[in-house]
Amino acid sequence: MPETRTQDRAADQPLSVAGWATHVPGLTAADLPGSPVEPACGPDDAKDVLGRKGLLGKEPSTRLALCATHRALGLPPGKLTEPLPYAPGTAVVVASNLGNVETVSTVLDDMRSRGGNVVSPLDAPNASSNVIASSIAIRYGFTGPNLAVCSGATAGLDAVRLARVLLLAGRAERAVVVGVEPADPVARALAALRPGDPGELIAGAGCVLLGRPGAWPTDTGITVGPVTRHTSDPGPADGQPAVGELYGAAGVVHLAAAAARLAGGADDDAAGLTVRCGDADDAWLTVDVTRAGARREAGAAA
Amino acid sequence: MSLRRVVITGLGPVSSIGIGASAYSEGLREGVNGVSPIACFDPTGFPYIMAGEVHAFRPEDMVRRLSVDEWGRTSLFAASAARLAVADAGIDEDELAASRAGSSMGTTGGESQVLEKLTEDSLTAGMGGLDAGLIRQVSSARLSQAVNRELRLTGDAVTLSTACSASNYALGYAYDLIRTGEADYMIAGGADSVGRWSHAGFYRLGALTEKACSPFDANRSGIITGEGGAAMFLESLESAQARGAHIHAEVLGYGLNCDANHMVAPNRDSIAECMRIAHANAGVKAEEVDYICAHGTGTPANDFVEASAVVDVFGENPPPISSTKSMLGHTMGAASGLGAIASVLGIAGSFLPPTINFNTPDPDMPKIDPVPNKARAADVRIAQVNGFAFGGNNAIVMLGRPE
Repeated sequence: MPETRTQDRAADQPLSVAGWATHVPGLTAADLPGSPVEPACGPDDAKDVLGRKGLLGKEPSTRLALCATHRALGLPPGKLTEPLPYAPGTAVVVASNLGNVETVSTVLDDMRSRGGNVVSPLDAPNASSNVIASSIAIRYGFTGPNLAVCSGATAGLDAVRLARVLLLAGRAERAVVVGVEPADPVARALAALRPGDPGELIAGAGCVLLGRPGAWPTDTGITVGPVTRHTSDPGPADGQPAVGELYGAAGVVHLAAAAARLAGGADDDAAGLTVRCGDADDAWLTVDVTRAGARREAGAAA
Repeated sequence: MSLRRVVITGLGPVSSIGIGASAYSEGLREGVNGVSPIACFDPTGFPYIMAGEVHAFRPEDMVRRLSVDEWGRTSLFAASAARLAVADAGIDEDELAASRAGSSMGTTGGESQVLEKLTEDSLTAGMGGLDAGLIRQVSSARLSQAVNRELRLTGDAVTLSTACSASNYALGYAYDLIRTGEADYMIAGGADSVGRWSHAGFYRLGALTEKACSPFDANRSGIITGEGGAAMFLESLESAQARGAHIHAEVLGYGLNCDANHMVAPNRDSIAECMRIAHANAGVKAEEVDYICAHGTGTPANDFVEASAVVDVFGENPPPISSTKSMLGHTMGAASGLGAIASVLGIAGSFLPPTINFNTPDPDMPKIDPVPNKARAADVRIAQVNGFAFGGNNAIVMLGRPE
């Protein structure tokens, strides 16, 4: 049955997904759509994607976020050689709950045991929770609104929702949305404190490029609808690959994977997929990703 | 794609010159000075001992669901202000709770008094001597959570920490949510509490003045720290009309930008640009603005730069520009919210709030009309609310009389 929802409210408008990438170290496109053909590199090998320059002092989560962004933009490996068209005015919204906890913890330990002089000036910006979003903006020249979200298990789709508000309210034409978590010992220990049994945290990033129709140069035919909040478990999503616990990155990683699946014809019958993230403490969010021109199959929204 | 018009139908000021819209309006019209000797901590040893505390604040008489023992002073300011705004809006509480409704609140220091108490305890009793109940109160995110808990709102609970322009950011975010249809009702504003750290911090910055805040005066010498809560009830124009609500004002739009330049020094060009962004977003021409509610901190740097930027944008005869901080002190995260409420009251009641403590025009400053010392009757159709913060976070909201 085709969707009959009226779209007179701006909040209901679908937005274009102009690019995507998933970057979970060790995984390939066969494991997780949107990944590279060869296993995605870890943060220490981020130079393979980004080039050598500009990575000194960058934390693992910033490196993974940059790798996902770089690949979603469809850029060749290496540092940018000329300014990116479409960068001015583009917004950046990043979801990460634990991106900087190891740095904060290390800085505090150092200050307590050895004094403030031992804190590296390169670590100082890394202690700020917006460092990932600002690093992406600086590297690619994105001068629009710049936000970091750390709202727990729903952070990934919270970031998508915030990007939608920015775009629909006319605050930006294009938005780069990134979800990322590290898997260092501090992050893992903190993630293990979550209720239930979320599974061991894994490192990974996802990126989607959202925009108003025509705002990005590429028309992929993939669109994303409004983000819906659920106070009870909305049930399993459409074939969301079980790749491990991605916490605040999950929403964006799975959205990028769904876009890749729909675009790549990996699932010929699916014209739309529902992506979800969340847990019992933080509630759940879902969003529908659709391939343009295709009719939604009944029940596909689960 | 239709964007909705957004109106303000409820006002909730909790301030040192009046709690509730009518008392606050009276305070503004009378030019009441809300500054008094500090009572919330012992200021012995500080050279300056004045602040804009809300001595009459009795949260236990204002909130109904929150237990005042479990929430910090700043969260209680936020929740109490929200209560007032909802009462003023005249909306049924159960209906509100069942709607797509949330809150966005701004702050500078969050629960600064709680943090101070914990710091003191950690120094005297060690980490093991800290009260777990107090630790739970520290997070600034609790400001909006307090509002949502108090009113049973299940939508957004966003706390923005863009310092002294945070209320304008919060108001802008709420406006966007309603305009796009993402939410149907929003409570927007901000809150902060007077505390030892902000008093000491601003003193050490050389930004504190001794007795009275005198914005735009030739002899101005700094801020007085203040506190309070500000909340406004926002909904779409259709929603307000459908339920027959009294519309105080319309939110016409807003503008944000960042100086990306200096941590504390304001930037004239960037502030002027922010005004132009706000005007463009609101569809307003500079000559249509009837009143500017200034950021007006009373520091030599801010007031000079602000007046200069105003002249850059408005020309040699800018609209009257007054500072509520002359009466309230600098209420930090609540400041632009209390400024916005003052502007709404000015629009609705056809008056301009004054800049009190004004004695001597500054010959080095571009010529402006600071509405000196006495409120003035005036037809205010469009008002501009300025908010600037450390780090160069500028946020300006445009308000209009409902047509």
